[in-house]
Amino acid sequence: MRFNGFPEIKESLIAGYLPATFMLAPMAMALREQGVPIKIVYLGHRDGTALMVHKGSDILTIRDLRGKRVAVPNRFSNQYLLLLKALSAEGMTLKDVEMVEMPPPDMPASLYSKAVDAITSGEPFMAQTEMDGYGRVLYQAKDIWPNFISCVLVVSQQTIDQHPQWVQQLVDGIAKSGMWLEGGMDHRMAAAHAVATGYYNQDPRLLSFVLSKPPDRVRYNKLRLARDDFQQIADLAFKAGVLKRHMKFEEYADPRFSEHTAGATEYAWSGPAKPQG
Amino acid sequence: MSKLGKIALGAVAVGITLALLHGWLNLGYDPARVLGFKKGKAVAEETRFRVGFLPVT
Repeated sequence: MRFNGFPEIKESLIAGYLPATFMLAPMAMALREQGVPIKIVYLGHRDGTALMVHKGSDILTIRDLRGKRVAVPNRFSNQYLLLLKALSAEGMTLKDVEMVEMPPPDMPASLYSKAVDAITSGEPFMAQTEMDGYGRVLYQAKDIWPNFISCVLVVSQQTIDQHPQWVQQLVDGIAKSGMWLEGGMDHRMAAAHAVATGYYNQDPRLLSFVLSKPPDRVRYNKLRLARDDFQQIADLAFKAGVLKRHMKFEEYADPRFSEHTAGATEYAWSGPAKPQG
Repeated sequence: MSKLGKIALGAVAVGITLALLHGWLNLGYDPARVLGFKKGKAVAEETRFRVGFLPVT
């Protein structure tokens, strides 16, 4: 079920309409902190985030972001934490930039019209500005935060308790799809076409660009839950005030389904099928 | 069958039809499968499971 903004996804999850969803990792942790009965069970991908500036902009380094207006998907996003990490490395803080929250699909137009000086979110919205000729990469997530995690698979506790086999099937499917995607550029191109036309309703050239330039722009391996990765996110989220206390891994994550994918093999596909209905 | 019986039978038939229609349109059930005309496969791809996503990679 496709959404256009994370706040709507969050509300649908809280209301029980969505038994499972992909959402921003810090947002999932914050929801758990607030008592919402959900658990992170797997990752969606790694890397796949960039910070873009206008092609003719005088922003050439992270230091040049001082006093500039930067759009992030949400205060509860890893892109927000990534920016904090990038600024901290240059001796700056989040107060040195003007932050605005914006749904990722609206970001390319905002950068084009120069309503903001920089945008950061998951792909393909960053690559869209590059492909259309007005965006320039200031940094890729992997340059600042190797093995960056953006979206995670979150499942309601009720679904985990009542239908653990559904959750396992879903996690296994993501693991197998990820392995298939990493099986070669022809697989990535087949997926780009199927997903762009069947699910995202986007130009297939855009997803082909995202999945190939460079090939490690987004990665679909190492999707099992790693405690250290989440500890890093939790620590930064606490530092940024996104989380009000230090949370334990077990509070927001259920790694059982993830661990079951050990030894899984990729799908024996020629390509993903188009959605039915 | 009496006229009243026919009306009662018709009402039951309409009720079942509406229930199947509601299940199909709103709850994700396939009437053909519920009535046993189509056999299900126990594979992940056949599971009807709402998963939210934003069109980001």
